[in-house]
This record gives sequence, structure tokens and C-alpha cells, in this order.
Amino acid sequence: MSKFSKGKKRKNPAISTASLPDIVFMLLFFFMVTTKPRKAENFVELKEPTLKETVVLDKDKSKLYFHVGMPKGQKNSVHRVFVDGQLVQNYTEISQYLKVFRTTIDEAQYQDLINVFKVDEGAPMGDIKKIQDELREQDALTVQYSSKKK
Amino acid sequence: MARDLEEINASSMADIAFLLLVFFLVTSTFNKDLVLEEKLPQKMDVNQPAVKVKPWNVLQITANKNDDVSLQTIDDHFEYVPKGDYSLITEWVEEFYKHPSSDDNHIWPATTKLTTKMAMDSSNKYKLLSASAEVEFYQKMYDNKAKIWKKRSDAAEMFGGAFTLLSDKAVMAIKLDNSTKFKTYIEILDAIYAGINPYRDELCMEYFDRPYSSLNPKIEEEEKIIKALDIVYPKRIMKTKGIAGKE
Repeated sequence: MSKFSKGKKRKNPAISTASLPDIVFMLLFFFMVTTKPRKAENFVELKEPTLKETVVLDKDKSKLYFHVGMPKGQKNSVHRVFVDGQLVQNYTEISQYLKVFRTTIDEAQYQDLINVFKVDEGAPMGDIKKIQDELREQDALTVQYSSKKK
Repeated sequence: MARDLEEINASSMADIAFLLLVFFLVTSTFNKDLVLEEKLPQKMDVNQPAVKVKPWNVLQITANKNDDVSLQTIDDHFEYVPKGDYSLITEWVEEFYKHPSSDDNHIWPATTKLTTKMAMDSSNKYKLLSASAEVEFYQKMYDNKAKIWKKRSDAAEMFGGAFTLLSDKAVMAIKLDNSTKFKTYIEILDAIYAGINPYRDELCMEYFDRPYSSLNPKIEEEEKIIKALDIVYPKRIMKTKGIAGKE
């Protein structure tokens, strides 16, 4: 009679899956935390127009974002303009900003620059015109209005 | 003897968590940003005289401060556009870009039949003028014209040696008030594009067997087609400011 029995086959112990939920939850939280909307959209009330002839925004070209809308939570306010997430007090700041921006990238890239306008449906065209006059001042002539597909 | 508490089986927990993960991954699709493009006109040169358009070549769209939209077309034809439905604009834009055929006397706006050779001749003419010009301002102006005609000759080459050229003076003018709402403007623009794009699709289909909307500007060959289509059916849109309305 041996001390160590040979007759019984030893079973492989099952791998504990107890920590699996933790790993998966960690993944879940990671994705939930990292996917957040662009900054300026957080403080401007935007209702974008719904249109038929929209095209997809080119991802590879350099872009500058313009937000025109009312500050969130202020119903009877005026429409404000944000360039690259910064509030514009005076329209001439826009061409100043572009002038500086122009020096940071090379000219060929600058000529391809897309000015993405995220504008609230109710914004007055006079404001848009003032922004675009500033853009023309610095030869940034491509404007793309963000919209939804009908 | 106290009974042992049974352990809750946690093996399905992973499945639940995976299900949640997959659900969030699928539902939070990065929706592609959709846009409508507009090219702004170049900065006005102080020396440059203001362009005067002849009224008989203009499709005038007016939106006043109350967002009432009206149209003024050939022979002072005036029409109100119903609110919220701008298909009337699309119809008139189609009329604006319609190439005249031999069996109708389409005179609005003015067009000319342009062949590759005619365009090339014009380009060469302006090159000569530029070379002999003494003032820099005129040199630049002639150089620009030479370039434009060169592009037109390339476009004609691409579409079977000739195309119908819209008069330089023919424009669609959108007259806006400072307090016209953005929604009104962008919907007018959309309606205009809805009038142009089918023509571009049609021409592209005829010569390249694919619609204009499927062209990718990142491929050199296709970018050329896009540019040529831009010459034949230009988005000639002018934004003007003024007191809107006929009254």
C-alpha cells in the first residue's frame, strides 16, 4: 500500500475566472472615459441644420473650428463666437489669431485649411459675415458648415 | 449547526460585463462629421473696381430679416418662395445651368460653346498681353486670365473637346439682411447645390461612368475630374448684403 495513490487521476484545477469581470469592467470604463465630445460643444447651445447635399469632412486636412451659438443655460442671450474653443470678444481677434496660426504650419497646408463652422440655426447672418470677412483678410477661404443629413 | 451560506455563482458576471462593453462599443459609433462647403471670395483689392453684374444674367435670391425668401430671375420675373420648402430655388438653379440645345432658344443666362482650341488661343493671347504689360497690376490680371483660360481648355479636353461655358457675368446672388437666420441661408445654399450636383453627376457619368459624388479628391486623377467639373458647372454664388425684399 503506497502512500501516494496512483489510481485516481488528478484533475487540472480550473482557472479562476473571478477576476475576468474586473478586467472587462476596467475596459468598459476606459472606453467610457476616453470618448468625450469636443470641448467647445460643452458650453454652446447648438442646433445644427439638416441638409440634403452634405459631404463627409476630410479628416486629414488641418482644421479650425468656429462655434457660433448661445452660451448654455442662458436662454435670452446673444450668439457668441468661439474660435478653437476660445471666446471671441472682438471680431478682429479672429484675423489676429489666424495670422499667428499661419506661422505655425507651412503655407501649402494653410491653403488647404478647412474652417469648420458649427453654427446654431438661429444665429444671424450678420455675425457669420463678420467672421468670414476676417477669414478673407487672411486668405482662409474654405468654409464648411457642419450639418446633419436629411 | 449553522448552514453554510451558498456562494453566488459569479461565472456569468464576465458575460454580462462583456455584453455591456460590446453594447457601448457598438452604440457609440463616431458619427462622421457631415458638412456643406462654401468657398469665400478672395479679399477685395482696393485698386480693383467693383464688379457690376448685369441684371439679365443674375439669379437673385433674397432673404429678408423675417426670413421671407424671394426669387428674381429672367426679365424681372419675381416669385415668393414658400417657407420651409426651397425646391423652387432648386428648379430655377437647374434652369440657370441648363445648357442650351439647338431646338430651344435658351438665352438666360448667356453661354458660349467653347472648344479646346478657342480656350487655348485665349490663354495664349493673355500670356502675350501679360508679357507686354508694363504695370504690375495689369501683368497680374492678365496672368490670372491666362491661367483661367488654360484651365478651361483642360476641361474642354476632358469632356470631348468642347463644353458650354457659362458667361463670366452670370451669377447667383444671395441677398441677405444682417438678421437673416443662418438656417435660412444654409437651406438656400443646400437648395442651390441640389440644383447643380445632378448636372455634375450626369456629365461625370457620361464620360467616366461614375457619379460626381463618388469622386475622391485625394486621388490625383479624380481630383482633375472634380476641377474640370468645377469649370463646366461652377458654383458661382455671391453673397451680398442689402435691404431685402422688393418693397
